[in-house]
Amino acid sequence: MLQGDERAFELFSERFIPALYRFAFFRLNQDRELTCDIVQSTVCKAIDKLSTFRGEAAFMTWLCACCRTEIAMHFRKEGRRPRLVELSDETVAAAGPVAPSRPPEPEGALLGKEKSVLVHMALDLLSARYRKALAWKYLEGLPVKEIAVRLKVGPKAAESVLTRARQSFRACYERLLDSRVAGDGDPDTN
Amino acid sequence: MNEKHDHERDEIRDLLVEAGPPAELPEADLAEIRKAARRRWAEMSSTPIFEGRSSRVLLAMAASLLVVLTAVWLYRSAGPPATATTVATVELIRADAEAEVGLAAGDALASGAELSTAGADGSPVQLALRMASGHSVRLDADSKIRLASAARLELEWGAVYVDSGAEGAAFGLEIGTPLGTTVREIGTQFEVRVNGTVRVRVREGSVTVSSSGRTFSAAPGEQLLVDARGGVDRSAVAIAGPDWAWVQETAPTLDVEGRTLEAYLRWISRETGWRVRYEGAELEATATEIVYGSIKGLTPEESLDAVLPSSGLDYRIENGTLVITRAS
Repeated sequence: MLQGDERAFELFSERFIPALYRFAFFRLNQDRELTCDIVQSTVCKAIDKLSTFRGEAAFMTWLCACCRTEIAMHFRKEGRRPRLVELSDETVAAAGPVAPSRPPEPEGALLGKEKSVLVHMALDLLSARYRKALAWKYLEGLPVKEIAVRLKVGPKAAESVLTRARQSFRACYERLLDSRVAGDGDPDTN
Repeated sequence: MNEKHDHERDEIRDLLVEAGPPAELPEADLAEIRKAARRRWAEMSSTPIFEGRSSRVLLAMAASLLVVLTAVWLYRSAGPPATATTVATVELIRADAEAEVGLAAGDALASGAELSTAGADGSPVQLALRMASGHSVRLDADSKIRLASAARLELEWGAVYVDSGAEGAAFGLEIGTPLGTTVREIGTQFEVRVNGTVRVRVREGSVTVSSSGRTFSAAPGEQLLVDARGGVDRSAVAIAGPDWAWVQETAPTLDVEGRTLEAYLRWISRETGWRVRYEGAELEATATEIVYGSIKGLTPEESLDAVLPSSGLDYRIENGTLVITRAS
């Protein structure tokens, strides 16, 4: 992206922005307007600071860390702090801010939601082809034969696509999980 | 091998089934964000990364030629352009949104430049300069200063704060005043305020104050008040607190991205005068954590609320000490 590579920007735009939006949307208790503002601000600042990204952290991890700071700054400016929900150590991470107007949710529900957010963020980071293949296979329960038709490839090639999609998904999900991007832990020092 | 693959496949299936179909994200929002991102990216990629405003050297401009829309700023340089040299760069300008400022961050200033923060419309303006020597120089609102050279500033009225940096500057800086009093820094942080008298307050290191042929030194936590007749009164002064608030407000933003929490807190300490203490040995381990993001636009104190929660930390201020605690 730094070199003005259009394809790099497209990748950023099509995969990372949706994943970041989902991350912020969860943390901001599904406040759409605020999410849009925060993500836009985070993305613009991240672009400004691309040259400082050292590549030690996964790019998504870095973006999420920037977004967390942006959220904290927002609440600081608003004169209030996000209410953090404490979860047990075994959980992937603590949950994000929850609007004071909402009653507290059971821990299990939060954990489930958080895990779902990570899964969906990992899907966002995949190519559209892989994302669709996994959804058709596991969410719609389509047989490989049908998936092959939709992908416009043969059954063997469809199996291959599914295998690579699973590998990519696993890599993205584990990276998100390891860096605890959904929670408050520092992404690269855990 | 197949069993392993089957297991992995089952795990992924379970994860996806448990999470359910992802909610559709609002396409209008994504489009808006993408549009802003593309605009910013286009701006960035069309500009060489290392091209900064610092290349703009404003040399020897007559006041009448300067574009100062509402005269919030007066900026003049004396002396012929051929001999003027860059002695400082504008690092930060703090002004009301409505105020028109004739300078911008990154502008270079030549020797002989005069800066006034006495706005014609009363808008408060403060600024921070980075001297060629490395000193951070802050100018409070309603002040006037002349950059006589890279090593000497002349404060006509108002207040100036000097920080030679934790590592020390290339050479000592000298502040002259209309009363003939001269303040020389020896690796330090200090404020000089001219208001009929000359008040020198030292936060760190030491300074010497020369007045009417006599020289006094001042240490951290000391204040020297020099009156118009050269009389000197010495007293104690806090090195942190409300009296130093304006200094915080003019602190150039630290680029926290990629720095350790420890480095960030060192900066906080330097800008606020607070000592830093971790509540409990286990929290000291967080000092090596890396900070991400930006604190642009926030004062050092305000930035604590943005940075510390990201590391699961909180803080309180106790008797001039910033105590780092675990977030509750």
